[in-house]
Amino acid sequence: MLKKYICLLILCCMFIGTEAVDAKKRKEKSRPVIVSREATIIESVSSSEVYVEAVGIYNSTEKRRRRRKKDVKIYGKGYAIEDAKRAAVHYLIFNGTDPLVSRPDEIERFNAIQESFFKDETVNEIVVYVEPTPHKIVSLDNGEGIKVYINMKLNLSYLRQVLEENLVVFSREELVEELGYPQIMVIPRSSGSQSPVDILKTDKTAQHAAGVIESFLTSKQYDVVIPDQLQAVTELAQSIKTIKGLKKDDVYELALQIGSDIYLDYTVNEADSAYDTEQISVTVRAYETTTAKLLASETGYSKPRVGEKFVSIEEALLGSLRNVTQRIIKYWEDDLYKGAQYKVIAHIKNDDLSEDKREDVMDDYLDTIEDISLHSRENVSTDITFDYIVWCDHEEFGSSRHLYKAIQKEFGKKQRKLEVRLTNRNRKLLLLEIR
Amino acid sequence: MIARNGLTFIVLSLIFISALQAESKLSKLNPFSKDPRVESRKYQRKSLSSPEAIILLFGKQSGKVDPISAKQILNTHIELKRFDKNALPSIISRKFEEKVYEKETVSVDDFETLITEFYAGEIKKILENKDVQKKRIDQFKEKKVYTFEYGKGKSYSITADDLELLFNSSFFYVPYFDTFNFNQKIIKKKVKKGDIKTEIKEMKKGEVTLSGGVVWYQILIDGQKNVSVSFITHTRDSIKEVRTFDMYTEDDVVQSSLTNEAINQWSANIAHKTKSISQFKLVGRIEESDNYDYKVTVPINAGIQLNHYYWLMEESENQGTVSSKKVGLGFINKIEAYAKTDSDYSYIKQVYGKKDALSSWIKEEPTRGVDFRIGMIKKSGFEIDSNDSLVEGEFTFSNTITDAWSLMIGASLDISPYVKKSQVYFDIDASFNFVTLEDNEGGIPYMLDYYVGFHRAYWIKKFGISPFLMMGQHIFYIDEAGTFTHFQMDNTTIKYGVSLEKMIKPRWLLELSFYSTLGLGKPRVHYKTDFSSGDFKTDYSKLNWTGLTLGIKTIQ
Repeated sequence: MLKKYICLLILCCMFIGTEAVDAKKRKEKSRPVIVSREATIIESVSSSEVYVEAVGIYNSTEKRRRRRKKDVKIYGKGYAIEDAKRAAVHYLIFNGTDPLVSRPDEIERFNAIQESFFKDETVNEIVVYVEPTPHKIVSLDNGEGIKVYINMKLNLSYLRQVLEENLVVFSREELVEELGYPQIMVIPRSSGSQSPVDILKTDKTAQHAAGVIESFLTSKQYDVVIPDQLQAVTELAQSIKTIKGLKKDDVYELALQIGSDIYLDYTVNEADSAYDTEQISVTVRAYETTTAKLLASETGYSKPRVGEKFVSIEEALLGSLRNVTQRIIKYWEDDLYKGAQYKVIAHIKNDDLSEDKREDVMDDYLDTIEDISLHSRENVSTDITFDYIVWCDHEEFGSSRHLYKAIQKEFGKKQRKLEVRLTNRNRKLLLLEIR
Repeated sequence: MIARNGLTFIVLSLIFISALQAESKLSKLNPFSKDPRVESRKYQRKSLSSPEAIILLFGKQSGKVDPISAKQILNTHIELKRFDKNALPSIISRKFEEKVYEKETVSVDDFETLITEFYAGEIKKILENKDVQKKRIDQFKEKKVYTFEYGKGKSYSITADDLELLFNSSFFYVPYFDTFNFNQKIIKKKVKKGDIKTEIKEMKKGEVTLSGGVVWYQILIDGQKNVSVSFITHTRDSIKEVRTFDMYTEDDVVQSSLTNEAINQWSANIAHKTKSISQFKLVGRIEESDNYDYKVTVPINAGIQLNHYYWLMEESENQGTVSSKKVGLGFINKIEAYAKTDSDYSYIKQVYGKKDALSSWIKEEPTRGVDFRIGMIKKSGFEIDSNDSLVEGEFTFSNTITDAWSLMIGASLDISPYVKKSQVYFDIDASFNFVTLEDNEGGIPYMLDYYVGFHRAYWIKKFGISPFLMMGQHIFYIDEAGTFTHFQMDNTTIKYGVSLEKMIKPRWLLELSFYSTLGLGKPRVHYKTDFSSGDFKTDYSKLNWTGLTLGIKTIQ
């Protein structure tokens, strides 16, 4: 008889236990994927990590008021912290100046995977550190809900990687496979008579900033050039300067000489702040080399502090570089659709050509450019110089050498007396002579 | 007898339970006041400065108080661990005092002007000292190891935010006395001589009345280093110190002794009031909570101590506005520093308020560390037998007394900080009741008992269970009855028991205790008649009893 009762008791306990576990699971299932969407980036901790203050909310769904309060007291903080983590991730994906996902097709792809994306396992891998306790806890609806404010550190690079793996955004690796690593030249901006290269050689602040930018960009696998050794480019510089009508911009010319895809210039400014502290601001601008088009401009600020100038420079730079590089990636993605971009400058060498003949040569050259490229745009054209930006199929014209050969061949078909010869070239620039 | 005691126990228990039920009603009727101000969750250390002497505003008898030594007494009380001290040159203090005494009347605004003139610049200089900055900022700066700054340099720099906190954490106080009176007279006093004899003696009775206050200002220094002085509050206290001295005591000694005692007591009261100024209250964050236990952060170097009481604060949002309110009260029951760790964690046991409140931070509720209680005791189990009242062939009374209702008063001194264990108290209590005697010739018979001892409270949920052990004296006394000068039956006893307590209002507890006493030997009778005196051991009486107490306790 006693055994029967014991068995019955054990069965009851097992039933209650299972029910309790099931109830918890049901509750977790019934929770909305994400409640809060509030977050603020406090600072960029490193090239891949950001420190964020996020807000998490939990509202109990228990039936009775007393149970709702008890539920919030026991589980509320934990659930709200989980929600804060998701809010932080959500913020980095969709909000801020340069969100990771912004195009309608990307948003559509993300919405399809949203539920599985915000699973605890994924979010916990993106969130690398959460402060032990929220710095603010607010009771909602008379204790039936809870709102927490908590700081956490997120790995932005990993977040992008997850989005790439889920085909939400274009994979950087694929981009690199298609277009190669973008080469970026980094140089300080000069305002006076001193050239940027001289500034880079003499100014310790500029040197330190260049080093930080180089470190940041190389960690993201960009090919970085800091032109502090001018000898390598003197020959090309001379060639460019002989060409009539080019914009007289040292940095632009330097970028062209080097053949970078993009060049970044930066300025470091110091300002006196409260209580005799100094605040550093760094403005970073990114340009498309071939067109000198401004791609991005962002200013980062350090905390006003006593001394520690180099720390402040790095702090300010991290704040601005994150957004600038995000915009460079967007530009790089766009290039994938438009095609590989080159600047092609051709110069008619023969002075003794008649005016009619010159016009014929020009027509043939322009037809050649149109035939080879997907798109083209005229920058400067005179009677003897043609400066064009061309976008070509990156599979066919993976390098400027292929483009030169194609121009030479195609022009050769159209002109029998004159031919195209290479004066100089680098990754993005072809300097041609028609003679 | 057993039935009657049982009935008493049931009645007292019912009263206790009904009072407990009233707690929930009280908490509804008397919700904690809401404080709409946004308050800090972290205590920001403050630095104090003040003149070197107390300002004497009463003039006439100013020679009778030494303002510098009075200030030194005040310093020992007011320079709490939560404050840093801004040491300033003495010459400034003298100039400041001279200017104050030049005025016929001094107002709060006058002090403000003089502080700006003499002290503000000097305080700014101290705060601009790099070593002072580093030392003080290091005390309050939040160490976040996951920030860029720490990640890069493994150190923290001084930022404008840190300096803003530092430059606005200086306070200045001006202590003053506005009343001082000393009176002395000769009185005749009954003094005990030996065990049972008393004599009338001439003595000096001194009386000091002292009142004064402290005016508080904050030194504000903005980002451009412009200094301003802002009035904070004004705390006042008055003290009356009365004591008798031997006739041979010098008048000066009487006065200085009483003055020092009065200043000391006044300073202690002022220090207690200082802790209650909102800017100086210790605050901290709740890190973890488990039912009635909370892990909190309050800097140990700010002077946190065991048994200090703290409000549990909840922040709630209503239509986008966040406000803080008190939702519970608890005491510090463990400090990690005692466990030799470097962390600033302490633990709070909640004793009042609902446990399902979402408290997120704590705010100090200053107490003096003394509890007072008053209650009624039902005593039973003793026997004051008339057979032991036989003196000089006559019975002093004819009935036997076996139970009584007594009035109890007591006080407990918190000794937890000294023994480093929470909820340990040194107790003094006494109870008194009149007794009805038969065939007694007009005397005033009463029972008196007093004890000293210790108790420690253990809190289970919101109920405190306190075993106690005390030692004292039980006395049965008849004063001037017939030919008797007095008749006294007494016994030294040990009292042991347990009390159950529950906070029914903040700082007010309901207490139910049950105890028993153990006499050390048999009671003795001491008597004195017009013809003889003597003492003897009792044969029939016993002064041991069991007691059941229902009382109210207040934490001060």
